[in-house]
Amino acid sequence: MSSASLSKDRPPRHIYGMVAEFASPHALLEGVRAVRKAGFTRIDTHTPFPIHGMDKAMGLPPSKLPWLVFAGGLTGAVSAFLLQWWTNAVDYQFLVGGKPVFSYQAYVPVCFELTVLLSAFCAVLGLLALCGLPRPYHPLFLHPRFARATDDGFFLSVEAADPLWDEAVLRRVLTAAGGSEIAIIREAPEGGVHV
Amino acid sequence: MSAQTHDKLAELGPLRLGKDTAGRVSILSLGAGALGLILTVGAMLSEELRDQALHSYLVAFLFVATLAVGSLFFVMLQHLVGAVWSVTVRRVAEIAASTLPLLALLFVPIAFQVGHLYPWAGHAAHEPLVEAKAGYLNTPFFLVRAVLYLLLWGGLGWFYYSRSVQLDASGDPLLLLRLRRLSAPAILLWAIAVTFAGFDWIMSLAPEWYSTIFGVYVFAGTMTSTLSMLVLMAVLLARQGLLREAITTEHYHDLGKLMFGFVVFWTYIAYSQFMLIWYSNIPEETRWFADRWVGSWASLSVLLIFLQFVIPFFGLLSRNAKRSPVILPVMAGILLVGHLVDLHWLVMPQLHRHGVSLHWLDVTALVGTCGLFVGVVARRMSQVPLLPVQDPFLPASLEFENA
Amino acid sequence: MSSAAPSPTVLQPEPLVKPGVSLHEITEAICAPVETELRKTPLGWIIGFGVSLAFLGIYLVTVVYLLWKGIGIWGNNQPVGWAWDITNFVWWIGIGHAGTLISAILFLFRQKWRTSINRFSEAMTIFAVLCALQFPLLHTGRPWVAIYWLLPLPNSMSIWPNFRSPLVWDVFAVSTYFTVSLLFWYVGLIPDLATLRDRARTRARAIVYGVLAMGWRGSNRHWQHYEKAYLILAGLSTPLVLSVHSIVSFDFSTSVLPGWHTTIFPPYFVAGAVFSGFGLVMTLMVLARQYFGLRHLVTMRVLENMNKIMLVTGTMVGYAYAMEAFIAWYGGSIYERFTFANRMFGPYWWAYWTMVSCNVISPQLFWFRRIRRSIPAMFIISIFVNIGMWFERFVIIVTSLHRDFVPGSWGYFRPTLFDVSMFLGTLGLFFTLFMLFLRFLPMIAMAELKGVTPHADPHAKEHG
Repeated sequence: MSSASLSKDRPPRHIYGMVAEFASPHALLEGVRAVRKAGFTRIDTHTPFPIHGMDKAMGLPPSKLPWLVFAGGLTGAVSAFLLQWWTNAVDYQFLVGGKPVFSYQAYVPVCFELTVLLSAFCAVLGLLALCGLPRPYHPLFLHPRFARATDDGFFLSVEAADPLWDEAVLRRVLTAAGGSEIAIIREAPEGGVHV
Repeated sequence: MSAQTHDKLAELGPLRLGKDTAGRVSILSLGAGALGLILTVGAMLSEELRDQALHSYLVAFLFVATLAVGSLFFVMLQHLVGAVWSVTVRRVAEIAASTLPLLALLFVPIAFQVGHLYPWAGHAAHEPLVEAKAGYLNTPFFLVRAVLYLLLWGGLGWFYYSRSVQLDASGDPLLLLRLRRLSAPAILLWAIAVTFAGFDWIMSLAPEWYSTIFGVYVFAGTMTSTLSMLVLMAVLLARQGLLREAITTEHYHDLGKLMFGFVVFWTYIAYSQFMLIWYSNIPEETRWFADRWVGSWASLSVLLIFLQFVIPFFGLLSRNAKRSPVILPVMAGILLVGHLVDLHWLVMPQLHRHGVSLHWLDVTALVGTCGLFVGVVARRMSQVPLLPVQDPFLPASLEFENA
Repeated sequence: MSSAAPSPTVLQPEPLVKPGVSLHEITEAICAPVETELRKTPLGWIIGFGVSLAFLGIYLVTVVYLLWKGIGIWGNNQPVGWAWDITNFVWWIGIGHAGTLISAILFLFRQKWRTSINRFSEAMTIFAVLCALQFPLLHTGRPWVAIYWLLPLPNSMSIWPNFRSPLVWDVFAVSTYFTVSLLFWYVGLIPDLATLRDRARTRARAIVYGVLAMGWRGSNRHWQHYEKAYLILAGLSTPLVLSVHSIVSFDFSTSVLPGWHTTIFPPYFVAGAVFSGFGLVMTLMVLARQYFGLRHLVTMRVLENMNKIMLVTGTMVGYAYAMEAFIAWYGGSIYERFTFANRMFGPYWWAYWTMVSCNVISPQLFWFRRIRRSIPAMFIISIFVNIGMWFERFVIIVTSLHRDFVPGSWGYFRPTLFDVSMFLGTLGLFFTLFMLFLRFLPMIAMAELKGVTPHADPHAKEHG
């Protein structure tokens, strides 16, 4: 977003967003529903384990990962078959064990293994790509209580980039939904690069 | 049972197949079945048609037998692992397994014609390789073993069905516990019986051939077809307005996952058996596959790979396909046909050595055994509830959702 | 599952985690062994690590001598050209299979009890496969030369590997298995590494765990892809694990050797692999659970379920032994019949009956609930299983080879000192890595374990 388009009530750039804590997965689900109902879209939750039903509550579209994996698997199968065919039946023909040089019956195991290998690589690299990881630095890590997101805390964050961003409204919605420890998160530490 | 569960059951609508529908279906199937059986068994008495009739009948018998025996396994497996999701599907499988005592009746034509169906009891009895195994392959022992298998399956099938129906009335959890406790040893015996029945009834058609994995191969085909049958039965019941809220997309999804798993398993076993025999190329073994690569048998072999692996594998790969009310039943239908083709492929090359040759007796035999099976199942569906209504895990199963 | 299900207590499973354990307590209990300061490392760990290192030393000495002198230092020779090396290879690979079974197959079957043991057994998988790799690689004598016929690398001799050979399939299977297991393990570790990062009290720990955690912040937008990726990796690992031991079995069963060539080998090897893997997981878990005080997290129900799986797989292995023997007779080939009679009553009868007693008979004790739930009993049986499964591979390999088709080349295999030191050495390699794992990584999957506690149920209104 260019700074020119920022209106007066838009947040200054060094604010990342607002974070609230909830007592339990159930409370967090309710919180997300309330915040979404108020119209906010750039929301996220941070929890020590995935919460059943959260994708639906946040309205996330289904993950594209299976398609990446399918493409990877197909590449693996086809390239393994071509590799075996070309090396053994075309480029370097030799008879061994009374088997034809083109023995497709014997190509199955390697085809299978490469299908799995490339699928797995696509699954892991695809996961990292879709999540935008590795990302060692994130403004949320500045929040002193945020370490509990990997222990026993249930957090809801709303980014300042949300079109409806309004500190006061958001604070009210979060409080009403049962959120506590509401805090503003800055892009960088106080006294850092910014004013 | 709590009032809450009662309300939930009431919401599900009727729990039995309507008397009218059941009567119509069972009379029609039993009639067609009787006609088919009379024609097929009658043909066995004619010198000219006897061999064809016997082989056709064997395929048809095995088709129904694997479905009933597979249903029994499904029921026992659910008890063994204490599965919750499958409670709403269990009764349908129990009803299919309850037909097992009738299997003994269907075996009678084979029992009387062992010498004509199995070469080791007939023309090949004095070949050296066959004589070497005469201690196992001889008619009296063959019949004793068949009686044991049929007694075991019939007994277990009836036991699991009737006790589950008893549970409908009493709701006694100890009864369910007994079924669970029995399931582990029962599955062990079941597996031994299926293995040796596979050896006896199918493998010994080519008496010189052997494969240690053959029992597992029979098991794999049994499971792909049984799961497909359960899906189709549920779909047909839903068309009658039954169990619509009980067997939901979530249950179809799980059945689809199991189907997919067993498709992969069947492929794995079939490939292992084929590749090892192809690779070693030992005459006694490899001939069996060579016979299935002669003339039009080769085309049927390729068709089999498509029906049992390629189409259902890609068809069922995605989550959406397993949850689709169209794709899943279509795949189930393909797998049932695939299983029939598989049995034909296992049995018939022993009779028609030069290529596929279909006969009207293939149809009458199939109508005969399937008609009987469907007729009995339809009748039973009108007599007992289609859900184990007092099962303590029924409410949880009704609410089941895939994560 | 809905807590409203009014099921009678006899049918109700025990809870997975002792009731009343809070999420924070889980974090504390699992992180404690990892976060102990280096100076305060418990003596038990130091002793265990020291012993492991000593065995690792044996391994290093053996390998250096082997590369210097050649594989003649092993006892393999005609007619027994494969012996301890391949026995150990198959044994180690098999052990690895339990980890994948627990992490992938039980995950697909929604067996939530696996959560408390999956990390542990996945680590075992990776280390076991690493140990397994040593044997075929070193059996080539000069691994740096073997690379040309093992992998399709363009080279100046313009030759390619023979893809019709099961030994080449093995290379692909085992290396894929190692890679995918490592990826799966790492993906599972990411959230827990983030926990360790967030709890780090020293800069070094923060940096190391921080880099490894890659900036994981528990975002639900990430969890969504993460859960999908985990499911896909589980779905891939399941057929993969079947394929790996099947391909290992092809090394034998594609041959025409009596006792090796039999079609049940693929599923039989897979069942045996899972069986032996559970044996070792059980041996180590019983010890770790006792030593690190994790009894409230790895409950008796988990151990009992593992014993049930050992009973099932042990019985499957028994089924395969019976099929092999039956078909050897049924096939009518005099060579097959001789080989099996010779296995049971020939010079290696002791190995055969050790195998049968350990693998088929001893797990049958698990039919009794009391034995399934007795720690000493399961510990002893699990050790029997480890021994029996080693003997199974020994029986298959050595008894089939030592009676050649030509009686003039019959022989009897005797291991040399270096056969023994190589095997003990890989045990050292395994336990060194395992001790490091116990010390520096969370041995129970925290995030997953939290997910199966009552607190995690979004329908439960109360927290705590």
